[in-house]
Amino acid sequence: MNGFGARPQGLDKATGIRLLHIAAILAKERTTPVWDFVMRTLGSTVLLIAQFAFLRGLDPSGDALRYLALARTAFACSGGQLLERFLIDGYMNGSLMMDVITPIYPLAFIMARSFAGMLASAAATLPGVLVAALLFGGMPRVSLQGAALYAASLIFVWLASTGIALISSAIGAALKQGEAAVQLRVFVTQLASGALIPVYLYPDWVQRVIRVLPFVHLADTSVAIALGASVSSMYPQIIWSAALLGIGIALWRRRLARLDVYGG
Amino acid sequence: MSHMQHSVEFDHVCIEYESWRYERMRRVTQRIRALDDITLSINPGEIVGVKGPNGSGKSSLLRAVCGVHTPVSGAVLVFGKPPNLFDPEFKRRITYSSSRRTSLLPDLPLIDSFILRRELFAMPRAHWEGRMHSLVDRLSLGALMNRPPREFSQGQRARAELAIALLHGPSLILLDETTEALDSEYMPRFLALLDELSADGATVCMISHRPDDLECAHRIVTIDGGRVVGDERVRGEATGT
Repeated sequence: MNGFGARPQGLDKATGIRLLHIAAILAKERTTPVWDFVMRTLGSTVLLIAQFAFLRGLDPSGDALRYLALARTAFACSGGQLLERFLIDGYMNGSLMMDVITPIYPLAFIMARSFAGMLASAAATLPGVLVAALLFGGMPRVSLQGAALYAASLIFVWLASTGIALISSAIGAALKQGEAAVQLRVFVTQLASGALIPVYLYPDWVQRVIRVLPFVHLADTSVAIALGASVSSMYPQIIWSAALLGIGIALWRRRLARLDVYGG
Repeated sequence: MSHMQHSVEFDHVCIEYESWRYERMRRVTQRIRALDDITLSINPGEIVGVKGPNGSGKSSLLRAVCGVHTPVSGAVLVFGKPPNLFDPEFKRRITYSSSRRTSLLPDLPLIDSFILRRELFAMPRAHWEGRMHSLVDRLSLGALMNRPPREFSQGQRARAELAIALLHGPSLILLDETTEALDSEYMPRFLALLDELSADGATVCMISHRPDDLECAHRIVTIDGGRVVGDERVRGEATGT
């Protein structure tokens, strides 16, 4: 066992600023080359337009569209997806060792990577959400208080998605089934979060199941908060994000402490 | 064993990897011994070349120095301490560069990789600028600073990797075949740089399959089957001790 899973002794202000700067550099990398990023954003916009058009047909009142605009925005703030692939690939091919031999606590560095992923994901998705919402009349009407609480809940979306990514990547790396873990996570989070289909459109029994799962806090909970749900509806989101992040960090502390790198 | 006089000490070190797969829903584990009873010490300012066939344990040796691998028996000490504890101060004193694992940001201009390194190693800006300009000059990277590394040739990438590795002024430099892409123009310049760093007290441990790359070494250690099968002094004592 090495000591790379060590618990940070507490981050001082200077380290916090350094981590933010590191995240900004990594986010810049995620949005480069510029034309790759532009085409990715365009691809995402086309899919969002199709999704909005489909829901427009299903629910002409526009409620589903307003829900979807908020849900996709929340889901775009889940930076875990990019982190997940980085961790699985880095663990499998050994490149993760280049991160753990730097003087930054590895788990703090991982959080900076997740934050960078969130910034890049939001930058790639939000223009598409805006275009699709404007095209189909899905701009949400949100009170000032709702908007403020929604913005706060996005922080917990990011933390929860980082926790989920840490858990799924740790399982993928442990079973040497990285792609399977990624695809399973994508499938479950898209369906059970409300980012693909509003949760309230599912049959009642499906809704009952989905609402006890943590994935609902990646989008649906934030939508409810934006649309006027009480502050207390954010509590399960906060508790789940802390629990998922705690489990994910514990799993990766174990993984990093047993990091085996094969080959020259 | 005296712990302060050497930069690196291996005392009967054995390193094993656990390899496993699932067979009929059962986990089958196999242990592979990468280093087998290695005893070795490296003095401050010494340049040690490490050679040996593929899969002989050379890279495992360097990674054990970084603390990535923990011995199943024996002890590794680097600057008198076990390297496998998380200690930012210790990590600021070492550097590891590998031909297979990059420290560069492939899609961003090279300057951004230098900035990222500055943040990771908490380098004061003035110190960073001085070191960067010196290394950029010594390794002729000036024309590459605004280009992304994915556009570099292998030799250019190797020079950039080496500059990044040396940026924070490490006392222990671990090079895992990073120099093999350098051509006959740049290799002597890099060896001269290593000689200077060694004279200033930095310890260098470099793996290479090319005998010319190890020209500046004070000692050549040969590894085979995870064991030290040769340890030959090829130049005078290091002056940086």
